[in-house]
Amino acid sequence: MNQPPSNASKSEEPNAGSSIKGDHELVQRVQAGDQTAFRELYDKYHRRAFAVAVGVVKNQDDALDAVQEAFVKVHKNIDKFQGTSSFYTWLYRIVMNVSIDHIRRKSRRKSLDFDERALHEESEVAGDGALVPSVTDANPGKAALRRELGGAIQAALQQLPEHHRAVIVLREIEGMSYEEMAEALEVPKGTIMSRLFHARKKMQAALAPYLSGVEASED
Amino acid sequence: MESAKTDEKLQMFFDGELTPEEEAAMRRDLERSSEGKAQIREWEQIREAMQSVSTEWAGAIDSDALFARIEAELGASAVEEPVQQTPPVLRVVPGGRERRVWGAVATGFAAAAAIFLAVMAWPAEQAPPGVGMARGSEVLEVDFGANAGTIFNVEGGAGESLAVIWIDDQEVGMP
Repeated sequence: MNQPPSNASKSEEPNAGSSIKGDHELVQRVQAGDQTAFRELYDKYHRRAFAVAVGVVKNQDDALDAVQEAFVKVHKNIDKFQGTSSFYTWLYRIVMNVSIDHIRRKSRRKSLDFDERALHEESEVAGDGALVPSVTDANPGKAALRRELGGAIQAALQQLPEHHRAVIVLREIEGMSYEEMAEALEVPKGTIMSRLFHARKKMQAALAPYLSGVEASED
Repeated sequence: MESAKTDEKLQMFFDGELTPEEEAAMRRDLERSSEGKAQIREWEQIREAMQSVSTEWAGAIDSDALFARIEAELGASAVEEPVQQTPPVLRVVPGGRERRVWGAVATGFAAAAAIFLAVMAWPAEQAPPGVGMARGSEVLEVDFGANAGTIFNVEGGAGESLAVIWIDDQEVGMP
């Protein structure tokens, strides 16, 4: 328990120097017009980009749109990528910006009452039986509890402010370091740490019953 | 202030952002802090659950279909971009040499026909001796071949109608 959890498992590949070098080689091939290299970059990162996008936008269809738009932007702007930063940091910056733009566009189309309603519901997420079944009533096993917790997490994420959502998704799903997040989101490292702390606090508050449920079952 | 500093250090410990020395110190502090251990435990649970659910999300993608959408959008935007003006490129036309040869032959025939018609239309008294003239011939058709040309009807000195055929040297449609 006291071991500092290292970066999330998914970060191992992009953090490896050889992978970054491989990315740069792929980027150079794309810049030279090699479309198979673009497909290789897509194959390498699209699932993770999607996972990040789902954490930011409201649903999977919107996340697919965001990933599509992000890779189109990557392709169109690949000549501008100088290689001073890692490719995946650049990619996630684009995914984040596109995803945030996406939810802003959608929110503008919705009524202004939506956000207030969501805020009122925030404290009730844990007790929302329609969204997340009660742990005790369902008599679940460990896997079922995790699924329920996953659903609750998705609901809780949707109620975070977008800048909080972005940092916690990049940290916990992508395993980015503070430095990488600062680069991807173009904010100071201190801001990243502050946002991450507040995002975690809100997630803990929203998920409190589920966190203790998991703990009890695993003990 | 002190609490905020502790929270910051605890979070950095959890995220593996401390130096080895700081990390060792934090580990010692945590041995005496049940509150800190509980905090770490909850953060771990959130992390594990987020990674688990993200794996499920990512597994739901139809990768080829999504890539096809990307390719389609890239293709569409390429069509929308203004077409770059390229200088005309000279190309070899298959059979071009043969066309020139047949054009020259046709020109020769047309020229011969023009001379023949002019001679035929010449007044008899001006005709060179020994050349039989068939006057009053009618020009029905002239094959210009690959050349352009013009047929004129002009009035002769005795008021008769004369056919004059003009054939351009330049072949039509040749680069």
